Amino acid sequence: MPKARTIPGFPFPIPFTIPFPTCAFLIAIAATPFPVHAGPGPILSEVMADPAAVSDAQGEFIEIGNPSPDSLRLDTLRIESAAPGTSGASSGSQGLTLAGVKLGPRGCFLVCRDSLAAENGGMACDRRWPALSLANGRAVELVLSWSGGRAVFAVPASRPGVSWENTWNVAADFRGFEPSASSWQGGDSATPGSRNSRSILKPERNLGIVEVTWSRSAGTGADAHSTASGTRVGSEGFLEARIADRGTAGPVTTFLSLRLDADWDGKAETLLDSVPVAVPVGGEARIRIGAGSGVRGIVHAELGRDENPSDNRFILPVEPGRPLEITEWRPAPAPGEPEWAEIRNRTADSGGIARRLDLGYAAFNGLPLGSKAGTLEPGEFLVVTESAERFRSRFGPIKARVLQPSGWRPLRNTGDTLVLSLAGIAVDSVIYPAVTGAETASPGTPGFSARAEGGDAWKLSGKVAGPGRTLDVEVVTASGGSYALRIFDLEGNLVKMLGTGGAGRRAHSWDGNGDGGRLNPGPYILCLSRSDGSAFRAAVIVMDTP
Amino acid sequence: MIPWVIFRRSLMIALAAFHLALATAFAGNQALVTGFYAGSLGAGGATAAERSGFGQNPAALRPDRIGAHADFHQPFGMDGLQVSEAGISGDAGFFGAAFDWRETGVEGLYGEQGLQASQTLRLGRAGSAFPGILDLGASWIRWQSFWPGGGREIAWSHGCGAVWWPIRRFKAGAFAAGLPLEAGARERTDRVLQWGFEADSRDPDGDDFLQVLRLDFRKTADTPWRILASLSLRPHPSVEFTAGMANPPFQGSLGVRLAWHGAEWRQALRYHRYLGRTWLSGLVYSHPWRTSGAR
Repeated sequence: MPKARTIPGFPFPIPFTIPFPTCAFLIAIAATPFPVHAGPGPILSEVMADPAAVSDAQGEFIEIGNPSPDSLRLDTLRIESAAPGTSGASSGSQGLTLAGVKLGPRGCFLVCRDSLAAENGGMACDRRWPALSLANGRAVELVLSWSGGRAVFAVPASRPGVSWENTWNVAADFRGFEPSASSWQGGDSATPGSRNSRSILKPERNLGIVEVTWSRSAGTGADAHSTASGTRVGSEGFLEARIADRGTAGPVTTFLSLRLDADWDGKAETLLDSVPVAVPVGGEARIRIGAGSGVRGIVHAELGRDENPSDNRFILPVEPGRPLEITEWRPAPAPGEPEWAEIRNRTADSGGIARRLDLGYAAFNGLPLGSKAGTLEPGEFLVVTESAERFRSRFGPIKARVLQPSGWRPLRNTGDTLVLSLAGIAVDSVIYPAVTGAETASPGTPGFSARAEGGDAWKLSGKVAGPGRTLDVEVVTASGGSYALRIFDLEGNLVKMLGTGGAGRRAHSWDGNGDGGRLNPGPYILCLSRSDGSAFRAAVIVMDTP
Repeated sequence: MIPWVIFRRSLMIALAAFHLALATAFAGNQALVTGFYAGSLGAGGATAAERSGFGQNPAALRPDRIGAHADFHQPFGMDGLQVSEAGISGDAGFFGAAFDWRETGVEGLYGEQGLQASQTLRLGRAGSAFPGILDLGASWIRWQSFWPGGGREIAWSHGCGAVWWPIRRFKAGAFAAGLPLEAGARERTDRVLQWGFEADSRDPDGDDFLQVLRLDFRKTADTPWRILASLSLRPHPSVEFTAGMANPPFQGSLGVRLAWHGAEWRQALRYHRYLGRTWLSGLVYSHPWRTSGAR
């Protein structure tokens, strides 16, 4: 009964037809980085490690294959055999170069220790290499180096008389080298002393995107997406796509296109790059594309001419922070007030790139905002409420746009989780506890961004004060701190000392009057200065018309 | 011919309005932020350091010159809050007029526009029996407020003031602004009272190193009287540096003026103890348009 094992970097368990201890071919690669955009190099398609079983002590051979659909020149290929752990550095062999050898598409080339068929088990060799010494249970390493890379195959003291096929399986970073479970279509399947056919390399396969990652290292603004940590490459970022060969029907060559949806409307409008994909047979490859710090939005990766519809597309949000944020929410408003929540475009914050967002595909708590939501400029607010009319009646004119989406679902007073999504991707969520009466779970007020300005320092009930319209201010100060709440006119004159306080939560209200009496309409500045010297400011309006 | 009749009528209106101002207190953005005042924190407003602008003494005259200015700033760096201003002026030897426009807005919340017309009459002059030079001025402002979704309101106010120049290197001035003009109407502007002095080291028209010290006292609406002081250094007619302070609350400022062929560029930085920094920018252009015997 074959065992199924999961190989690091490989997306599905691989059944081994040979018991694992025996199958421990343990081919380790002390590798060089996989060349960007490089096509596959030659592979070691079969190894006759110990020909003793075929009664020919000189019968070692190795088979070098070309997995690509194009011809492959082996001019730069050099093969060495060495003692284990030396990786060829102290090779006792003189090595073999294959200058002038050209492999056709998916062709192979046989290198034998003994070229005489009568002495090597009947093999018809393409090149004799007397220094090839794999014989009879002695562990060695084979080192293949070529212009595009270098690989070391550890050939253990294996079971006599067995040749190993399909040794090439490129894992994540060339360190998970394991024998592949699949055999080459139409080829010999590891018969001792029997050479594989010329068509051993599987001509068809299906490529799938396993993962796309974005990584950037730029001082303190480092950010990374997806599960991979990625390699830091200076101050610029890179997109890295991992492509897997599924080993099923599909074209061999394809292109990976990367497009950017900067405004999160679900439509990729900017082509970032289009690169050819070349994956070694039966393996995976990482394709790295320099992306720079200007990539912000959703990256759409897609493989062209791939017949597998399930995994040839991949989307990756690339943002250092939230592009859109729920800044305020009020699930249990006072009598007569509507429920509402406030949303803000935060693309400019946390090192992002300020840009307009399309809310046509946005949803709040699963409720699509629809085309009426329009676009949201950087820093702009949008209030979604169950009743725009009652909202305006309560808060008067505010800076934020007010939207009443159809089919409003009441927010639960027993506590809930609010989720905001863009183009089907959840970009922010808040969890609030049970609330009662006029209490609010929100840290701020519509049109302001207390959460965005660094904490829970204050909370305003609106932007307008005046006769019959009180502006409520709630201040939360950390332990040991104190604050003063002042109102200034545009000349910088103090017109009202609204209050002071220490640590804890305190509430203040302003009716629009100054210390010297009623203030005239116009802009005034409400300023909360804390004992640590920091200050919050907000422009408020005094109205004297109902 | 001196427009004595015009002056007399203006004076009567001003005195009547001043009386009303004493009885009522009233916003309209009349902050002193135009041109030079950006760097002086308003010191010099009583003695008309600028030819024209909102919140200053209307008794300003630059004989035989015409000019224009444009200023902009965001008070205390507040997002969405901005103030823009522009004006033109034209003066003869003894009479001048100016027109200014200022817009103050809070994005999406409130807008306010003021249109100001001011006139100045010079009474005393060299060789006459009047001790020194006396400039008298009056201004009228039409205020219009906008409330998004809430319509608009209009109010009128006016102001008057005087600047006395008893000797060449000393000036004193006082003015009142934001006085209600419409009897019985709802007042929409804050009353501003300011008086102050100015002393300079040399003839300001000379090319030598010039120092100007200004000390003003200003009261806006019901806020306490404030002290405004500034020192200007002009090492060259084309370059001027100004440092100012105001209290309470404490504010400090630094300004620079660069002039070239009648054009001036002004840039200032203010600091407010609680509200932080404000950058102010302005452009001024003035040009002599005729030669007269007036000084």
